[in-house]
Amino acid sequence: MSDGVSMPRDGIGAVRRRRAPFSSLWLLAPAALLFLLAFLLPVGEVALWSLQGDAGLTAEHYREALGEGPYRTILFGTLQLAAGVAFACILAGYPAAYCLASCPPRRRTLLLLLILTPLWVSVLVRTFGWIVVLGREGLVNSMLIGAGIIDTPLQMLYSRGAVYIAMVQVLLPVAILVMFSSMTTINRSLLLASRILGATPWRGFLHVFLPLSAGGAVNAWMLTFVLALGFFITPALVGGPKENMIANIIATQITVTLDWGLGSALGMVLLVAGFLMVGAVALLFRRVTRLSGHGGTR
Amino acid sequence: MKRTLWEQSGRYLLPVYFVGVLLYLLLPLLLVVPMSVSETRYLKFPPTGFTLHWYEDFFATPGWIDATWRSLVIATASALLATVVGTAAALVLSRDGRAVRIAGPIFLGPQVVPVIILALGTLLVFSRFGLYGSMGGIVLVHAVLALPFVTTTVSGALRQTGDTLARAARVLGARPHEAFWYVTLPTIRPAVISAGVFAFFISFDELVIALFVMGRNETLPMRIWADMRHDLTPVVAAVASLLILATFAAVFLSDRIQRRAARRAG
Repeated sequence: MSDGVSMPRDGIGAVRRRRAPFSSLWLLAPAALLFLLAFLLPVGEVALWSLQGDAGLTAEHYREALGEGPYRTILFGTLQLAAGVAFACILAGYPAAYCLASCPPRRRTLLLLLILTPLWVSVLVRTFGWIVVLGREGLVNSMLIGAGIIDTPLQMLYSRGAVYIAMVQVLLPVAILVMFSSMTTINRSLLLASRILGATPWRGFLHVFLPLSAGGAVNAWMLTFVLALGFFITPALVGGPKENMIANIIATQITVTLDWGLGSALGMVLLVAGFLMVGAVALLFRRVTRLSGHGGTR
Repeated sequence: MKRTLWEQSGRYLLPVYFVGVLLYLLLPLLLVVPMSVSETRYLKFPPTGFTLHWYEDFFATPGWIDATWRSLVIATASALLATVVGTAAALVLSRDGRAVRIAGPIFLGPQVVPVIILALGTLLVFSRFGLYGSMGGIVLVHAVLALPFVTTTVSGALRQTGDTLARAARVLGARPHEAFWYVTLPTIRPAVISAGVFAFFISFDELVIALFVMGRNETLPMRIWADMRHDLTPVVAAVASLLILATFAAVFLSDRIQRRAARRAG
């Protein structure tokens, strides 16, 4: 490799003056350009369409999206479902994350890999798995009938419960990962200290570990909530007509009724409502932790 | 004795619960595979008999194969693009605190904005510029989806290795691209490879955007979607099984690569 190595033309001093080997901001340019073209431009276009009427700017689409009527109901339903799914995710995921965080490192890597593998499988495929499990002649029904508990198969698919089960399964690994990484930063000797000072393990957990890991749980809730808001595939495949989420309505507006203005307004409302809710939860959490004095324990 | 009871139950309850979570996450996936070799035309559990008929159907139907090829091309192109562009950005983001503060949250945008909005926007942009159904356009959008993932993975690896060696190379006279190619890249190669693999899957599995903009140029997820909505043939089970196996293989391979690299470094 003698061709690659030559003495620097401008001497050692010039090299030292450079802060780092690859600090040129030009390296960010391709990413910024890609981001501009394929992310900001589309999202901006949605904002534009949502305000565009036949004659100049209009709030008409927003009035239709937010006014009394089916869209407002569906919007609230979507927010409610997403909030519920996110809550179920942190509830179900917290003990699992706790378990991971208190595992010996070797086993932890394997368990983490098992938890995260489903994350890389297509949501379509995962939803298909639930059709196999919950279907008319699926696993659950055939087991219940085989055990003689029921005679006729239960209708489990195409219901709110099925949407919940399938959506939580899709988002649970995300929630576990977020909570697990916040738990690994908790200093375990604090728990030990609480034990030495006479706290029972349960009390130590409740007063030391839980407050310290609450931030991670709130972050997990926010992330899964935002992801759940945009769900489209799962409600369409395992939900009934009543489980239509705003994303499904947007799809209908775009592909069937061809009302792009209304679809865009619904999209913007979803985006803003999601951010408002996340902001409100973050603020509330800050208030609560400041009031009870837990926030600065670390 | 209440304390020890809690301790005892905690020691057993928690692992049992964890296994329950694992079953909930993995069992529906694992059940798909036996369904794909069942002889019945409709989904029936437990599966009966053994046949590879549905796999044959998949490989013999031009619609399925075309869709698979199209998805492979799109996913390969967008993974390459996202990996190169994301690694370049990570080189800056892993060192420059100011750049991180400004660009970090922005680059996370695609992860927190509901994908339906990006899909809608993509449709609006594509229809304005006559890109509807084009593969080039969707490659860009899929690359943006994978970008945050690539930058976080690669800048994590860069921060872990530090830039001492690259600095040394520069002091010894290597030009920046040489220092990168001969010194930095070999140390972060496992992270770059696994970022690339996952960028590939992000694109390969993506349905919503494709559904909005690809029209008659069906991708594999679009084809699965159409089948699942209409007649739900066991061919879907066969395709799903192939996808599950491919994903599991990729995850474990990239884990092996990363772990071997970690062992060599440690």
